Amino acid sequence: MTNKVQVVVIGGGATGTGILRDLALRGIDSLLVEQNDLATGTSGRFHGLLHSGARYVVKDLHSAEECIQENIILKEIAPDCIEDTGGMFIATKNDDLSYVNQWLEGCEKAGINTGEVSAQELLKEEPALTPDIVKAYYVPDAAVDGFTLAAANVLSANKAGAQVKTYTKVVGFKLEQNKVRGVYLQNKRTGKEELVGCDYVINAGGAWAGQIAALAGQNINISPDKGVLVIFNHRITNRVLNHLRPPGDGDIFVPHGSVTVFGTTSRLTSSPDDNEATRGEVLELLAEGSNLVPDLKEMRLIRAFAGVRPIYQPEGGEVGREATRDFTLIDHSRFTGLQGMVSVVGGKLTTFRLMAKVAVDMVAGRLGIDKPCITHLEKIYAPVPRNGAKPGEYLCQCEMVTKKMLDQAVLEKEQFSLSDVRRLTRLGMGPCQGTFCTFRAAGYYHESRGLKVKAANKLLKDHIEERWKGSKAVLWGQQAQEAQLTRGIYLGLLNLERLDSDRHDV
Amino acid sequence: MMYDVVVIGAGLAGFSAALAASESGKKVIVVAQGMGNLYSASGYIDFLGYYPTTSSKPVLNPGKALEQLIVEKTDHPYARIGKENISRSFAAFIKASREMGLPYTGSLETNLLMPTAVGALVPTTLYPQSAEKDVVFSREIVVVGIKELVDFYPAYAAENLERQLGRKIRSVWVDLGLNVGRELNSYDLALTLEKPDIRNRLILKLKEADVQNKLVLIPAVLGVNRWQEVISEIEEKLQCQVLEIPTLPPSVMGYRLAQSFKLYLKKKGVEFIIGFPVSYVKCTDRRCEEVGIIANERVKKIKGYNYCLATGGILGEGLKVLPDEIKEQVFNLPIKKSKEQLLNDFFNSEGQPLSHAGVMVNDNLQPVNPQTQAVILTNVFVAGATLASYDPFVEKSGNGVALASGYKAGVLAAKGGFSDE
Ligand SMILES: Cc1cc2nc3c(=O)[nH]c(=O)nc-3n(C[C@H](O)[C@H](O)[C@H](O)COP(=O)(O)OP(=O)(O)OC[C@H]3O[C@@H](n4cnc5c(N)ncnc54)[C@H](O)[C@@H]3O)c2cc1C
Ligand SMILES: Cc1cc2nc3c(=O)[nH]c(=O)nc-3n(C[C@H](O)[C@H](O)[C@H](O)COP(=O)(O)OP(=O)(O)OC[C@H]3O[C@@H](n4cnc5c(N)ncnc54)[C@H](O)[C@@H]3O)c2cc1C
Repeated sequence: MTNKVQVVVIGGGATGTGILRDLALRGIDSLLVEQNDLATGTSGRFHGLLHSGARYVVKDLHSAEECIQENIILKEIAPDCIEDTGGMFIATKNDDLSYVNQWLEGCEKAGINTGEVSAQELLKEEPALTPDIVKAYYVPDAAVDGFTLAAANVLSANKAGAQVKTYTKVVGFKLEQNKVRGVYLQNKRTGKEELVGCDYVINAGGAWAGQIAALAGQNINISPDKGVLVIFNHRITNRVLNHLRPPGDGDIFVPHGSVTVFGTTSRLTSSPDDNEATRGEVLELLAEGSNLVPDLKEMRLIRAFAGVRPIYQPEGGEVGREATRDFTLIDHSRFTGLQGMVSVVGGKLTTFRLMAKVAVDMVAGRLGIDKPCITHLEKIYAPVPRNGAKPGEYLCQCEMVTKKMLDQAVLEKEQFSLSDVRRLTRLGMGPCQGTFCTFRAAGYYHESRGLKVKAANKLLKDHIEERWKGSKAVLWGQQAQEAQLTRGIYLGLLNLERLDSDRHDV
Repeated sequence: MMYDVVVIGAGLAGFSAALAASESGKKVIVVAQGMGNLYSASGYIDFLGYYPTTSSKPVLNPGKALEQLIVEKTDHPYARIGKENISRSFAAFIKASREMGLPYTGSLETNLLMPTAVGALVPTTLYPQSAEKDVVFSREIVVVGIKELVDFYPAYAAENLERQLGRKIRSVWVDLGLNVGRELNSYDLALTLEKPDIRNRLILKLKEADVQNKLVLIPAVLGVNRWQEVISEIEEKLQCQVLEIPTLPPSVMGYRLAQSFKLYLKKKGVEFIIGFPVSYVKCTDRRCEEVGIIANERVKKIKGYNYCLATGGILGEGLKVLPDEIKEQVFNLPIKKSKEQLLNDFFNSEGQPLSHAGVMVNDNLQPVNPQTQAVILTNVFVAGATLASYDPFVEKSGNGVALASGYKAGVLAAKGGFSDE
């Protein structure tokens, strides 16, 4: 492997992987580094809504316009990553109806198609909704899978020659005469450090972008803002459900595979790593959501988690801001004179491709490359396709994961965890949350990959622990029962805790 | 109709209570919402596998460890039951199991180490006679997986066993060529293996795997009803020993016990109403007068002198966990629970506070107020997983507590005439 590339991209979320793909398609030699697995930052801890833009039409028309443009493009180029569920906005008798008119006007301006539907008709199709609907409209929202999206971007970039290092953290920059010459990387598994030379760095570190920039002596004023989300064990509605009111907490439900993701909140927090949801936060969300789905509190929750948005507060006015209103491209040379580094912050997952285009347009220009962006023209594909398998081949019946998918998910990996596999296949993401399939996957990989038994035990234990942590804030009702069943199986029946396994990661 | 004893719950605790009460010639009815947890559990009856639970060494003499536990953990259900009653339940169960045609064996003085589906060894006290095979001392072991079953991986189990036993263990896959076009669980496969031609296919494949004179470990799928016949046929034809390994739910071994036990109790005259939760109770003067279920939109009342509450805790739905409290579902009894909710570490061998929550009882297994210790209902006796202050999963004591507490509750309910003592 070469230790010099033209561009190093930092961050393996939607933005960073989108940037890598854009660079690669323009023939620019690039490397992406991600400290964990792909999409383990905010792009794996978000709502999964491919916005139509309708949520933003009143407050931020520009951002709504960007969303609908990207929504149309992504449905075209990334069908593997998107479930085109459609969406709906409903206002109930407790909502301010004057907002509805403002909203309709905004949708019209942004070019978002809305179709009104009567409460009666909608309730026939979506029986979980409150009967108190006064106004309801269909919009072109969809569900998007952030894990698959990041992996599909990388697959496309790899084909065009780009490289990726996961579980590799940027720990410093090599600076010479106020110019970035390279990045110092640390392999998180082995602890080994290396230097990779480069002409340019694009910092797509999301909520961590400030920490990364600080390694180069740059100051980006980012406040982390936490949003809590919960997962129900079934599809509550078939379409994405939005509350038709000024955007607030707990007003979106997104169906994904066999489950529903509901949220979210917005609270400033102290660290981008604060991704735990508390019981109190979950209860507040449920209280809000009950306005749209009356039986919500009776439904089974399987998990709660949080993601962190970077709230960017520019210092010194608008200097150096090449920005749309939604996201910001920071050219550090214009602040401090540091050459060879730009940072991209903010935005939405829905607009990642556009953000990538804006960033790469600038960097390509600096590198004297005048190839245009073509990321909207070529399709991207999931590395682990969900092709219809024959019955008898499924190891995870909740999310229909086959042995073949398990093989594909680890094809090029020397080392992996079942969480890495889960992100590519949805293994363990369904209603049983891995209670059955984790055991099967460990047994299967032990043999197919020739794992040492202590490594297989570790795969199994780590994944059960990971699933447990995610369910702790919602352990009541049927989920408390499920937790006892899982304990019954792994402790009572299997006595797994007494088996030796490789050491847990620190 | 007035029953002597009304048992609420059809798990091992409820069955054990019904057994004890019917042994004293009482008129007994079992009312339950559903089938108990035996259908998920292994079918082994573990009394105490680790003590203290954080110890890495299994308990080899459960009787002795129980005596120590009874002295040291005065809130533990076993302390309320007492050693003598534990022994009585043990003996009564062995006798009943013989009569029901599913003979169990074991001794309170010894735990046997049984292989689990991951290849760990788990200490157990009471097990079907057909499972009385010693993995630790047997000469040569072959672990067999069946291709059609997604819930067992022979090489994985074998390698873990190898590490613990310190010797080479062979593993093989056999393919029954069933081509059924769907994943089979243990129960499906066990039904299939009752068919003579399929059974013969298995025997043929095992023969190819060269199992003569060896101990064959195979997932517990060797028949739902006629397993004894299946096992002895394999053992005779191939001159080997067969030990079934309990599988992930559904558990065929648990199913066998639940079915045989229920049939046996029916023959002894115990009545059953299964399928409806007890959703109505009438209590006066600290006595339960009657309970009721709603069947076909009508309330059906059931009256008894004494009641056994064996509703299976959180898993059995006798306890319902709400975001900020835990509720006992039948009598709304107060719950003893600790302040902390859950530990971070799933595999923590101290056990989870959630499991420790439950109904507190006195030495007569009557429910008491956790603060004042006052008896709440004098003619109700609580048994099984609804009891407070233990974690069956880290102790490996689930079925043991269910059997022993159920038996004592049944004996006391049959005797009746209690006040506060
Ligand atoms: C609760 C919530 C819900 C949301 N819902 C939606 C939605 O429904 N639809 C939508 O379009 N948008 C949504 N968003 C916004 C969207 O999720 C984000 O805008 C998007 O995921 C950001 O992607 P990113 O690649 O910029 O950042 P991230 O995905 O966070 O990627 C940054 C990466 O950088 C890595 N990194 C950090 N430091 C280093 C280092 N030193 N070395 C190497 N790597 C490093 C991190 O590990 C991380 O993976 C939501 C956001 C939140 C918080
Ligand atoms: C996967 C698993 C494996 C296990 N393996 C083992 C093992 O190997 N060895 C071991 O010793 N233990 C094991 N256990 C633990 C053991 O199974 C339980 O501790 C034990 O079975 C509990 O018995 P019980 O009779 O108290 O409850 P249950 O068997 O749960 O029975 C409760 C009964 O009460 C009924 N009920 C509940 N509420 C009402 C109501 N309101 N009205 C009427 N009826 C009601 C239920 O329908 C059910 O019939 C395991 C547990 C699990 C989950």
